[in-house]
Amino acid sequence: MTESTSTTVVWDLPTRLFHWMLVIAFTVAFATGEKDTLLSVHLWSGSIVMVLLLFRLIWGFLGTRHARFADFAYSPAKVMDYLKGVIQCSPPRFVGHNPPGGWAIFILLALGVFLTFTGVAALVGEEGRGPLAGIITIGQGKDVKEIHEAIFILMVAMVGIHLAGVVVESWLHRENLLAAMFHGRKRVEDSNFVSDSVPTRPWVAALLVVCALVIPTILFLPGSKPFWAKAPGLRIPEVWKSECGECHMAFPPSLLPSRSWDYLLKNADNHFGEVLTFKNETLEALRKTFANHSAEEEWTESAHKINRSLKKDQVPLRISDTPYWFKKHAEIKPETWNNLDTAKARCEKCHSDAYEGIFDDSAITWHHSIVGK
Amino acid sequence: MKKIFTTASVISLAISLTSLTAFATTLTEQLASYRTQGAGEFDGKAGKILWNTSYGKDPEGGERVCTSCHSNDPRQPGKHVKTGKPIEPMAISANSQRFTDPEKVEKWFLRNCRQVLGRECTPQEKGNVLTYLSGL
Repeated sequence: MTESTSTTVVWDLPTRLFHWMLVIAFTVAFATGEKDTLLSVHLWSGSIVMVLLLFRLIWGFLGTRHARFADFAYSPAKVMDYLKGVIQCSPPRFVGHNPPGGWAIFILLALGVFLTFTGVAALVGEEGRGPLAGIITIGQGKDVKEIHEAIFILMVAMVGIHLAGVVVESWLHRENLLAAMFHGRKRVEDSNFVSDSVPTRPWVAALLVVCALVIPTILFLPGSKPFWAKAPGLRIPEVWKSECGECHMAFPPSLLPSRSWDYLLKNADNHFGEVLTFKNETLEALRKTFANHSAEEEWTESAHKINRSLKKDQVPLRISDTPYWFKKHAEIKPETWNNLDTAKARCEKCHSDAYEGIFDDSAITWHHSIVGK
Repeated sequence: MKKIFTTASVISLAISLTSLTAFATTLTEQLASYRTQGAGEFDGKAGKILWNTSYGKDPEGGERVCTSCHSNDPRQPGKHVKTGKPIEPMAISANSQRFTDPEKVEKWFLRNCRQVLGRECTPQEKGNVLTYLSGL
């Protein structure tokens, strides 16, 4: 019996912290993925996952011996070898990740990266928010959301396989792999294995924890702008704002289809009883604006919803004539509209982001007295 | 020290007077152009009368008069009669940006005279109104 009882540190501290923070963040994201009211928690935990994965990708090249990708990138032949060993109940022992375990990690990392990035795009489709708002359309965001959900299912399946693998190897090699992921130690068996412990790297670990917690929390602090209004699709040209904003707030072009704006400009000499006058180059600039920013372009949630609520031949001349507007404002007492201060044209009174054309739910401030039965 | 202070204050006074005259020049130029179009002496009182006269009923209800949007006192902010949008005061004394852009002045005279009077204002009428609003 020459079994050694000494252990060696196999998993450095950053890797262990990464692993368990990922487990927690992923679980929180999992649990909050379906509830509208918990979306900000979902985004917060999802962005923690993103930071953690980014770390792991870097650490896979710069980390300690068994954290590096090169340490557990095995050929298909080695994977088959190991699986045959499992069937015979005596798989070879690897100090770091075993071959199929290594592959599982690569697959999980890839899925995780795809999951988080599709999440950023899905956010556009869901709420019209985030770094890609105004860069991809609402429709595109909604399509990516389907992909996000499919990848999620694959990832859960992969996590299941990973857990099964941990259980099987722990049992076959009579060692507690779960505990090893906490304290980082595995037993040393004869001279086949290098016995030097890997360095702990405490500073990297500290940096990882700080980045993973601080960056997402700052992103989601109250008051942080959910929109990046400089994105091309969201920017309203100055000429539109000045020409259309002198007698009423400059209604964002995204709130009506281009056929409506076209009609209004063609009939500028009878604009709700007023006579509008435009220089030719101003008219051209306004036409160009609505060609790129009207409701059909669907850069914002409201554009998407208004556009889809209209019939193909409908040419609404007022935003408040669109079915979607009507539906969203149905619970407001009708007499509210009679007061000039809270008239239908005064979007900006309740919607603090009306000028940018965004109309986020969280940007609405109203007095409860105007909401009736 | 005293010499530097005196020189500095003389220079800044000169600059502010120059910009005031530059501003005043735009309005003076505008009034001059009305004269070349046939207007006579400008009369602030006549301008005030035009400002406050109702030129009939609006088809959608209400009177056609400048004050319905620009308020009875041009030194106060107004409110668009149909949309409720706040409008900055018309009097120069309350809003130094008024009448600094001749194109803007002509654009709004065109639109609003058609709206209120039902026709374009004559150069005399425009000059009278600008005189009224700049004298408050």
